[in-house]
Amino acid sequence: MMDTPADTARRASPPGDFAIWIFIFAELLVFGIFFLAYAFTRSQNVVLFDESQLDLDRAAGAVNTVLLITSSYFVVRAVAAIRAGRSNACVRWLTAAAVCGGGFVAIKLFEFGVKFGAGITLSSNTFYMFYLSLTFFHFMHVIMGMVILTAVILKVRRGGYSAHEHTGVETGASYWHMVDLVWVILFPLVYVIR
Amino acid sequence: MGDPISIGIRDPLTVPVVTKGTWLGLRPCTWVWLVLVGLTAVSFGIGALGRSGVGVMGLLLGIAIVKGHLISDFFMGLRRTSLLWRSLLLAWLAIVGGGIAAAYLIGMS
Repeated sequence: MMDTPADTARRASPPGDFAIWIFIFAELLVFGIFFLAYAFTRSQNVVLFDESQLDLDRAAGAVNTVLLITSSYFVVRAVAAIRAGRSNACVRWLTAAAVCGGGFVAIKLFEFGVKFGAGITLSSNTFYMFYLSLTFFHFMHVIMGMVILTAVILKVRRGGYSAHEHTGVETGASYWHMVDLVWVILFPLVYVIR
Repeated sequence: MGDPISIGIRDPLTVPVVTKGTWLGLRPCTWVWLVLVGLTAVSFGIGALGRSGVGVMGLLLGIAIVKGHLISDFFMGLRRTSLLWRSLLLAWLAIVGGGIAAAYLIGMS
């Protein structure tokens, strides 16, 4: 967040490596198509989608939303810390973010376990085909984000980033925020809107 | 010791700590986080009530788009970049949100 002089200056390009933004927009394009495919398929199967949606654990989805939002906030604080040259604080914030990510993964695995335990698979119906594939696709991005956060944490601990050079931290942060951004659309679309 | 902008500046006469870039003692990112959590609670509450219809869909979608915009502007840092980068993210939110709304309306008919 904007706490240091470097933050308050307007930048020509977004924080982090330029390549990650190409990747982010490619990912957003894929998720966007996935969301629209879900929405337009639902428009042809409204009753089925609305009935199946009732079986989802909305509370788990809401808690996972809060966990991702909070982890994103922690990442913002981590970036502000490294920009101020506070490596130890950066490691602490990133670790807190990774713990929140771990909470998301645990809850999601629980949700998947309940569904698979009830005999629900991709073939059960069109709604579950979308629910399982969409949320699993996002789940894999969370796992990838946690791997990136861990790599950044290890490099910060080794003194690999400073107040002057912290592009890697910003790059990892941008990816993690994208994972959060996608979920804030996915949650109401799949769990709530009916 | 942090830089002068991020540390508190105590006025001996007024006592409360005044930190530049904060509002009511909280950083802007903390406010954004609180708003995001609050909006999530509203969405969950609407879901718990089991409400449906165009108005409810519009409200839920609007909340999601506002949340997405807050994340892109304040968390991703696009607020401080050129209009082009901000517009790209806003366009994604608008197209996805508009598409979902259009599909919902088609489903109703």
